[in-house]
Amino acid sequence: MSKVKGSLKKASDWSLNEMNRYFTPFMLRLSENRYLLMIRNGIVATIPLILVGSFFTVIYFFPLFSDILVTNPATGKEVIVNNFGSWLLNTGNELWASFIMLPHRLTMFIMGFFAVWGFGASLAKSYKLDQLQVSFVCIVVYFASLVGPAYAGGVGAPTLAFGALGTGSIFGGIFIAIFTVEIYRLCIQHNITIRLPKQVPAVVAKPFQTAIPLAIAVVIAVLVFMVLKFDIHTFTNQLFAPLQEFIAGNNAGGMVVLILLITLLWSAGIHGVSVIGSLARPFWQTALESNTNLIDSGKVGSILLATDGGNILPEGFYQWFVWIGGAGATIGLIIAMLAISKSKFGKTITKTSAVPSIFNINEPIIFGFPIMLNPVLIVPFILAPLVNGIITYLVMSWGWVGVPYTLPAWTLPAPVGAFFATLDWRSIILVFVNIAIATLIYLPFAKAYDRQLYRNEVEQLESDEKVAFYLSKKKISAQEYEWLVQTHDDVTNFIGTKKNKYYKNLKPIKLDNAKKAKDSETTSVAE
Amino acid sequence: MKILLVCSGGMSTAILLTALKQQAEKLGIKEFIAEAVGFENVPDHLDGYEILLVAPQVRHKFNGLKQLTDEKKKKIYQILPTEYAPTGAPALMQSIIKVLK
Repeated sequence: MSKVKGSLKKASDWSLNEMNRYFTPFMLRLSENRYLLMIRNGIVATIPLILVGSFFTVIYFFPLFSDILVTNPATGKEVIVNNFGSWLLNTGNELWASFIMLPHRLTMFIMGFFAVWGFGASLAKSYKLDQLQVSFVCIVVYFASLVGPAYAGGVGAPTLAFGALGTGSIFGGIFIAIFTVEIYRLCIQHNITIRLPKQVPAVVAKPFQTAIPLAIAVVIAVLVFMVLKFDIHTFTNQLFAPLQEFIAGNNAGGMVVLILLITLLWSAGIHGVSVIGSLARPFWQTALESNTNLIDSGKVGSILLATDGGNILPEGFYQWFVWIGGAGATIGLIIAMLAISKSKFGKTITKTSAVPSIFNINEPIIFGFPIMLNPVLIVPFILAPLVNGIITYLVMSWGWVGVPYTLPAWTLPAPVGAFFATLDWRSIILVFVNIAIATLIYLPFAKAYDRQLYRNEVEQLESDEKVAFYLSKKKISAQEYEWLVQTHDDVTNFIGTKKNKYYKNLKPIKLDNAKKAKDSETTSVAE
Repeated sequence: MKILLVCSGGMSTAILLTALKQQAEKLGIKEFIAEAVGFENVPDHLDGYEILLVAPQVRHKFNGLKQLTDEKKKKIYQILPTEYAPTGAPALMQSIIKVLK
């Protein structure tokens, strides 16, 4: 048995070492790539727009009055029908419905536009270029890509559908931003700019730098998008379709891979969601936006089911149903520890990290217990989110619970966030089921680890403290009893009088040692 | 003592900040000023602080941040995982004092 345990430990140490040597540095280098950082920062910059846009969607589709009374013309009876509309429309508040919906249209609905702006500005920042000027050029090229293909032959003002500025243009926007910023950078680097005399103040001179790069970029853009009629957005969306499908399509395999990558990074003490999120967020956002569009279409009501074409896997799926209490579903560990922890250390860490845990902050747990590089706790840290993910995926794909289509702030407690992300009260039940499952998965590992901590704590006690400690316990284990008898047979007399589980075991020994015990009764530590 | 803490979003370092404040009071450190930010916001916040503390979960950002602190002539310290634990604040305070000396 101990041999098996030893080789298991060796295997887990080995895999942790290998992970630290190859996997973690690779993922980090990838996430530090300049263009990937551009995507990450550009998307992150748009999050306020999505938060606010989602907020208005939630109000608009709040699940109230969605059932209305309709008179059936055939029978003349009144029947309840779910008209799949907003409570605002159902109650006849059309003006206020517009009032609520327009802010959404102006923010989240045109995510692509803001994302391209964000990409341009953040890539400019990383090259230490003028962010405002570069953003101008990016937006010009972006608009050229949208109106170009249809403009050929005309000379008037181009027409642009507002919806074209949506997430459909994010992936194309990535290439547009890279193309534009690189042209700008090359021009500056090789001094292909309008140079004004040195006496001209920088505020005036700087915008002039943009003229030539802008001219070059716009000419190339018009050539490619208008003359050659290259529709970059359709092209890139097709190019990215398999990746989109894998990461955020309804694809359990992609989900499992993402959960594994994120929990493995955290196991090495690296912020997994931050690293992987920088790669996956554009895909998550696209999935979220496509869900919002389905809801906006007014055909499905305020709850979007996967069976109605909803995407199961935007970021909210992980945030509210998998990373409950933080990455690794560590709320399960906290509940398990609250129930069983005996060690002082375990109790302290649990107490101090319980409250942040409710708000999905779990660094105190990961570095406290620690989970990081801890072969015992890493197992449930990976397993619990995997099981939660698979259960949530199945339940959602059967259409039992709605999929996330808004983006509430990530520090909300999971049941609250899950409700506002889906507007489906059943999501709250699912969250609690997941918490229960995570707790059960953590329980045996927490128990094993806590016992290990507890044993170490007791080992470190001075011999006298240890005896006093054992004697103060209601129950002592056979092992502890053994230790007492071997080292302090003088106190066994005292133990023998205690009404504990080992009372019977103690009695005969007490008799054996009765004489000795009697002699040393006065020196017993228990006194 | 003027400290800027950095992690992914500035959330978990905010917890550490409270613990450090208590330590500072205990040790009688005067003028303890501290702020927790996400790594995106470090360049805008670094001025006015003496030292930048980097949370262990974003230690892959350390080299980039070090360039920045070197430029601005500020000190930088990589927080150890054990110091980042809820019980680690006293040890961390000692490390800060050592680096600032």
